[in-house]
Amino acid sequence: MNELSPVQKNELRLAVLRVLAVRHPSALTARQIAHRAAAEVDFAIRETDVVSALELLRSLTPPDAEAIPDPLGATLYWRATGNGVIALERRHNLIGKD
Amino acid sequence: MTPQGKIGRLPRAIREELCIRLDEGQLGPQILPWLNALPEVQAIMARDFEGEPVSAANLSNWRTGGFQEWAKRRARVDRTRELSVLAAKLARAGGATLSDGAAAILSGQLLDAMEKLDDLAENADDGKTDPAARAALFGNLAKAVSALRRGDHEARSLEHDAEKIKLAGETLELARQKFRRETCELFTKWAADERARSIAESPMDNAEKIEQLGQLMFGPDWRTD
Repeated sequence: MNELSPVQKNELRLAVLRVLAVRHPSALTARQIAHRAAAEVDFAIRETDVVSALELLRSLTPPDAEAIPDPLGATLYWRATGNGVIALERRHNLIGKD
Repeated sequence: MTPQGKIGRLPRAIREELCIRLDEGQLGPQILPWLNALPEVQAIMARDFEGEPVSAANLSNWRTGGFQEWAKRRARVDRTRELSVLAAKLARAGGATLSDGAAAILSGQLLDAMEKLDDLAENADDGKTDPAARAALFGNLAKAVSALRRGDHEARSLEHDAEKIKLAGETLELARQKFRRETCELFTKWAADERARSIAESPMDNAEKIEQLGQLMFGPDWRTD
């Protein structure tokens, strides 16, 4: 599978944020998010693409997403922050935040 | 799945805007001029459709196909929001002692199961339900709720244990204070006793002195083993 283009990455970030914001305050695994985000975009995605998108959303200041580690394992659960929910409502453009 | 047809080839953002306009009740004569004037649309039509603009027939097809899918997705988003609120309430109600992060994880697990059940219910409307799959999902939901209760019980049990440890610590401290007081009392009493003084001042080693003083002070209650 090819690397996503910058436009596709941006679209995926918005799709991932949409998946999380709609489900706020619930936290999901990257796999669960990838499954849902796949229905939101017109191109094929991998779980690693979703993890990259999540990492970027987490690295923003303030962050749009946060990770909660499973207390009994290594799995990370992701959820939108309040800022992420608001950011999506404003539909701000994430292009250029790489 | 990538939508087909002229409108299906357009970028998602444009399709989204088009669907919103259709949803608002706009008609072809309002929509087509706007759509065909967009540079992205013109570029795609030139590249893939020999420059033929989007027609009323294309829009009509979209209205019965892609737009219906979009409306379904939109209704689903609203339902997912409601389910998410419900899952969060369940997680909170069942596990008042859970941390915020643990409640979010649990809520996500409940929501995942609920969404799958919702999928099955939707398929049931289309006559595609698999009873075994539905039963398995109910089982998962029951497991998630049971995990929630177990987590809650464990949290309460930990609290109870912590309380017991605290009480044991306090009891030990009280016993220590009592022991010190009693030692001082015994010292006062036996310091004045000739027999005790003679043992204490004798040249015996400490172990022997303790043994003899123990027998003197406690009699048969003194045990050497």
